[in-house]
Amino acid sequence: MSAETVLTALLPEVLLLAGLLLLIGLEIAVPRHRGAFAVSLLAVAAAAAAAAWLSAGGSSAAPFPGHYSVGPDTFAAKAVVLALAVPVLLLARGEFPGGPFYPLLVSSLLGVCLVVSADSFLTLFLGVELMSIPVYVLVVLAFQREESAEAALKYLVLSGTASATFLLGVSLLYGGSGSLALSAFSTALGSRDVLATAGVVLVLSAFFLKAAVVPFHTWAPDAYEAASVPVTAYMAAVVKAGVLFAVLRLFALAPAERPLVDLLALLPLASMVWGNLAAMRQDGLRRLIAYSSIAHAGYLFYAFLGDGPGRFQAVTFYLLAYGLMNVLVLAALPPAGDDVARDRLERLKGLFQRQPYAAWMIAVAMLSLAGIPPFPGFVAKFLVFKNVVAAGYPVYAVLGLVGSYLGLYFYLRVIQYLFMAPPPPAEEASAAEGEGAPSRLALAATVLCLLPAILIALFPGWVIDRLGG
Amino acid sequence: MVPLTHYLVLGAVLFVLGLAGIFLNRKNVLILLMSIELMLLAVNTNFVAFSHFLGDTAGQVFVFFVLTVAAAESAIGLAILVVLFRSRHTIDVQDLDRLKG
Amino acid sequence: MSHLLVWIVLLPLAGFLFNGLAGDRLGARAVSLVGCGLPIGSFTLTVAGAIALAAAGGEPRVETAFTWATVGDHSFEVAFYLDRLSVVMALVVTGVGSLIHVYSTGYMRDDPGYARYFAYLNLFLFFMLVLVLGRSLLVLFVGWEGVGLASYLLIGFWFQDPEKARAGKKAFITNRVGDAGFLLGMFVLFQAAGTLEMDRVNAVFSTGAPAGFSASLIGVLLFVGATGKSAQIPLHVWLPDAMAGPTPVSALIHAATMVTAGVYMVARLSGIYGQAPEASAVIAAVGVLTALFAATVALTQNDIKKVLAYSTISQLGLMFLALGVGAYGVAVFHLYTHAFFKACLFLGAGSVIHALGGEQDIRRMGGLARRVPTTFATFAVAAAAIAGIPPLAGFFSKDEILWFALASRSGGALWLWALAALTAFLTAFYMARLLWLTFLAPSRVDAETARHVHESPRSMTGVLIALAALSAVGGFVGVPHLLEPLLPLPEVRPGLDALETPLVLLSVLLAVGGVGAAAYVLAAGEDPAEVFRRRFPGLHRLVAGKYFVDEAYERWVTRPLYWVSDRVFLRFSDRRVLDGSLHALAALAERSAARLSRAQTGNLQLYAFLVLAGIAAGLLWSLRHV
Repeated sequence: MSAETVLTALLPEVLLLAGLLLLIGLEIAVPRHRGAFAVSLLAVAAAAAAAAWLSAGGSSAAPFPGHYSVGPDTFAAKAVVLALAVPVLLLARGEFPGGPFYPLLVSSLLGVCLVVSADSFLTLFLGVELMSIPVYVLVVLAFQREESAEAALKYLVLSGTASATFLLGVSLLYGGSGSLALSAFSTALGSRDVLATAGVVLVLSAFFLKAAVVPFHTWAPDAYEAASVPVTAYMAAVVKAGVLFAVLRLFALAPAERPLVDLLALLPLASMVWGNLAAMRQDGLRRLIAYSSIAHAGYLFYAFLGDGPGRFQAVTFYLLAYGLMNVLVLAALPPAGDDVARDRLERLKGLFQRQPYAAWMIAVAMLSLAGIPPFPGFVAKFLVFKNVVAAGYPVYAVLGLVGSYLGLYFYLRVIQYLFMAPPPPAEEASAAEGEGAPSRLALAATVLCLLPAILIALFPGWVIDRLGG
Repeated sequence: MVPLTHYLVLGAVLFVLGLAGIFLNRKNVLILLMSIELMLLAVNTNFVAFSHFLGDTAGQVFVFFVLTVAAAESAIGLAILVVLFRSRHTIDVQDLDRLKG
Repeated sequence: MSHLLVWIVLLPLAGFLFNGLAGDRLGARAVSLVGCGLPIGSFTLTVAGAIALAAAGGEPRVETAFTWATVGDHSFEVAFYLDRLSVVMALVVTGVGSLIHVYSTGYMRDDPGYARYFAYLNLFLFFMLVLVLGRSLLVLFVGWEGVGLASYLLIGFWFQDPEKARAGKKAFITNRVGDAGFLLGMFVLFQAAGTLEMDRVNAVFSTGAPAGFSASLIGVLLFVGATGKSAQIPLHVWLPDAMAGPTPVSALIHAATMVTAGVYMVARLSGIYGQAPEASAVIAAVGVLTALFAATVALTQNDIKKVLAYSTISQLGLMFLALGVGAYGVAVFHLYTHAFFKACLFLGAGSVIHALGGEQDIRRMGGLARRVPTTFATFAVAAAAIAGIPPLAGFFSKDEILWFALASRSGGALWLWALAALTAFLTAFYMARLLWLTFLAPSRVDAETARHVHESPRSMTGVLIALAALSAVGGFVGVPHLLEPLLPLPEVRPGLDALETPLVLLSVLLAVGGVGAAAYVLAAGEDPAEVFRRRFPGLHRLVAGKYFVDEAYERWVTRPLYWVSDRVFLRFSDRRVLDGSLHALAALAERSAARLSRAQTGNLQLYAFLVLAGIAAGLLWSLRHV
């Protein structure tokens, strides 16, 4: 294989790596430089464009046979993840003028790209760790709250447990099949062997934990709340996508079989119910988003009940729609004096009167997350549930739909706050205290989320076609 | 020669000890990090054992990567611990309950 | 024009965007101009479409706006479809819709949220037209959810009042319960027919249900959605509460258009229901029971809008009865006449409320006939129409429903007819009571309010007159006949032909009888002597003993009727069982939310324990089932 082919196949990673090296070099060579934001934005945007271009070109290659391969699907997935990272970066400018944020974020993105292309457990493991380890630091980084370190530590401990569980499962699969290829997992799916089944369950549990599925979800609300806004957006949109792509690689096209089906249906179902119910009581926006993301992890894993190319399309589309909407909410959230105040849901009361654009953006995101047509979230849920029905599990589809209706309550509560008539003057003053309009970059981020959202709502077919399968 | 199952049982016991260490330990956060190390080592035992019995070196290569990643994770963990101690003046696991609800 | 239908749909959307984004800055005049002008434009285009349709001999017009999604080998197109059925609906929606927009310029004149109100109203019209003109069930569903959203925004228009905000949420959530059924029905239908375009679905089902699928299952699932949107038992609870919104909204959304979406959907998919006798029987039974139940409840209500709300539920029940016995065209006929007279009644009620400065309790009204003569006259015409007095519109459509309830070969039965006839009688009775207590009975309005009573501005009375005129003559348009090539009327059971004329006479009798009975009770019950009797009961009893007859009448006829409707239907079944269970569910959700929230203690050991337990449980479960 010529160097040129390898370079083309690795183009997004190469661009990210170049950006990363440049960032580290700058950090060492030029003290207090201000170029980090521009460099990382450029690297990520270029990588996203490269991935999209390669996906459209339909190129595929295996630069490291048995460990790493690319195809239109993987390029599309990389394009989705990297594109989601662009508005996140725009959000970060205000909070992180420089410093370690940017190299950490770019290396985490590199990990996601590795996950998406992984063919062996070795690559997958390295990718997942490269993706998550920087995030522990990102959570603690802004240090706007005392609780940040606590949250990061909880995240690290539980995520480390997940890594160990994943490796234990992998070792069992390795022992059973004698190979580290990812196909060992999909082969083991249909096996009746005890070791293989145990391996599959352990690996799956680890990813349940990383994606925050009940009962492994406990770290998510704490970590989402204590992280700064761009980091929360990154965790909700990009990290979750990375984890789900890893699971997609594992399952490939193989159908889920009993008894795994029960696990894949019941735990996600529990997530939907638990996440949606617990979200009702929240009065902080980020904690609410955390619980909502727990419920959404449930819908996403539901898609694995179906099989074949429909699964990749449904999951990727869902991740795109869901990620865009999460970033949109956090981008439109008006800044405030301090981080805790910014988070308070009460502060959104009457926002429509003060900042109509921000209010509309948050409302659109909430309606989409709730899955109401014609917003993109509806198409995403439609694809998932259609696959579940087509795979022959109508009962689970019914239960899932019922579970999803629980979520309406708190999404509507946010909308009700937004469009409420202005509160009495005294309260209004306290609500608006320290409130500024979103920065210009945050506005750009909302536009970057909104335009693709409109596109995928109007032309989902076009988008699904681009997602291969 | 020691049969494979013995290694596997050893691995499983070490792993469960590590996991139990996380939720039984009420005092020191450091012990949590050590527990995670223990779990990873248990996994390594498994890998080496399988690798040996399969006659396939890939498993042993994997172990090197696991060790490296574990070191990175511990380093980050300790760094966060320092930050935690500075802000809270304690590293008691029980005191980590500011975030809830 | 090649994109006629697209324009019909898009004009209100343009209004929404304009008023929503720029309305506040441009002042009320621009808002009214855009807010009313664009719906009227839509109406004009719809009329043009109707003329073109007639010229084409009823050949359906299809316009594909764009291909929305291709999933597998199925493509979902956003296509609009104008045929005999959707043209009737579109005319009603844009016509009545435009009138109500005009009315709103008067009614909402002083509201600070004027632009926001018109934006929402335009948005509603847009989604309603998507619903009506959509060719695919999926497009219909987008409209279906959209009108729900617009209705949520409008019910809760005065968000300051938490009670009203709660009503909005209740409506939205109840509807989503129905939507779960609708969505499932849609999935199954897609598996069965391979398409969601409704004309092609009907074609697939014309030769019987596809092998392995039950038409009745699909029918019942979709009907569950309809019970939510069209407020049928057991999902009707939201509609009376929805009266919290501004009155023109109640007229447009909760009487004339949105709540009839379920009826339209069933008629649209008559191909499926024609193959689904069980589902049709369910529809007929639910319809007639809802009709009767709501009519009895309407007797006891004292809030003018609540009376009309229950009356709407009851009339929708009659429409579903017609659908259930296969008389789809007749159901649409009643939908069409009902849109006129019920919109007129609601707007009349709005005019009364406007005149009385917000009073809605009919016990504190009366004597308004002279003070607001136009409102009174139009209200009376519409009330007579709903009561079924010939030759007003309601008489024709209701009479046909009664006839097919008895005589249809696909499900007609004596008990259906009997319950429907009783409903018709009660309808006449409670409308007469409402008319009397509001306009004719001696005034119980307090002096302060009475001084300010005034007739509404021309923009409001003009609309009332137009709607009253339509309620009067609308019945002469033979809608079932127009729809017959598309929705053939069911055959008549053998041997019943001879009964047709006597039954017409009987339904006239029922209407007149209902009014008469009400008049007899009320004329005596609420005159000044009655007030005198209440003030000085002993003296009164000594002076006039002849009223004992009326008291006996009240005790033995009226009171039991009130008692039954109040205790059995309203308090018990409505409040306790249906409403109560909804509250209980909400409370359960709240409680479990609190509990789950407490489970998140922040304690890392607990988190780790949950992880361990999860892994162990997963392993155990899987290994036991290997």
